[in-house]
Amino acid sequence: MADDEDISTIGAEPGLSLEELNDWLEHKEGLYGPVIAIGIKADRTATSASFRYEPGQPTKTALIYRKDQASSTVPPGQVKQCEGEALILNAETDVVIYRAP
Amino acid sequence: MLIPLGACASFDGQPRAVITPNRQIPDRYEVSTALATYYGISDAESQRRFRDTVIGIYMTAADANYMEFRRQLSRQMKGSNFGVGLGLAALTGGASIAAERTANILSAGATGLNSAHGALSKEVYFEKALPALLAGIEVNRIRVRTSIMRQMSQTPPSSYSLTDAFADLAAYESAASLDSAIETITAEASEARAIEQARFDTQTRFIVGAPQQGLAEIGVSIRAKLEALTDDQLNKVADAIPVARGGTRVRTLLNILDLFGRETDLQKTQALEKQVNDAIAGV
Repeated sequence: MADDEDISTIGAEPGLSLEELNDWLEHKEGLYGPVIAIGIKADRTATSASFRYEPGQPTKTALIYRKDQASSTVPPGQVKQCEGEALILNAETDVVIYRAP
Repeated sequence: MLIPLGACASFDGQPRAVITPNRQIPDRYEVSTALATYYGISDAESQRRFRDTVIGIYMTAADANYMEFRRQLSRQMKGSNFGVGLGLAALTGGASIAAERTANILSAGATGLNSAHGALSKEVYFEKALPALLAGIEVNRIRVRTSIMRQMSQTPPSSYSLTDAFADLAAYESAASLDSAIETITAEASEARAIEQARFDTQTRFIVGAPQQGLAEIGVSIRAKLEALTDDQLNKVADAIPVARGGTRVRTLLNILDLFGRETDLQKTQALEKQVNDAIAGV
């Protein structure tokens, strides 16, 4: 697999709550650029997310939502960035990431 | 007026074919007539010119039909309030929907997505699939068109006959179908998912917990300062910390930022910030 030099893939501990995972995401986006993918490592030891470096910062922080609650919790006008799975409190959870335009 | 989705089959999700008797094709270029003419020509150069003429006529006709197909899609998207009007009910199979123009391209496409290509979720369909389908159609058409044009410019009639060309022209028309586009984007989506999973499994650089409050702001601030440096300055900062230089500016920058990415403790991050700021001040 090609190693895209501007992509950083970072793991989050599996026991994080959704709020903690969003704090983690905010921190990592500030360093590595906008999130482009989220998923779970095959060995189920971590949530992983990939970030694509772009000079400058994303104007708005992206937020992770539980997919089954997204229709009621995502504010109108948010732009979907990606979706996948995450470990929230050690449970595999379908998630979707949105960002305000 | 409620019309069962199953009745929405008057549009088959692809442009009208021209590789059949078609008013856009002059009689002397109908398939059987054109082939008879082509194989009656003994001179290779004349045969090539005739072949290319026929290809040009059919491609133009196919393009015209395709443009009409796109116009219909555009009209029906605007006329049906597609995302809301058709709704999920349109994808459940056999459901009725309240729209006058249900016998349209979009619902035909939705039927195909639901029944034959379950890999695309309903949500994906409404949010992304239609534009992606159109993009997929364009990709497929360009791919076939490029192949035909290359054959025309590089291949003598002895190696690329009019019969071969008609087969490619049929493929050119098929490339404009929704089914073809669905296959393309489904394959691409599967491939993209596989690539991402491989990245998660093999390239996760480290695993950390939640950061304490204040770390995000420090990270943004440090990154901005590092981005403002020249390549030479950035390398000197990396040497001073020390952090391994990457092969490129971006990689060196990310190597430095990794120090902050790995940290979750505010006090340790503040110490790190001071260290990097001192290094920046020294270059």
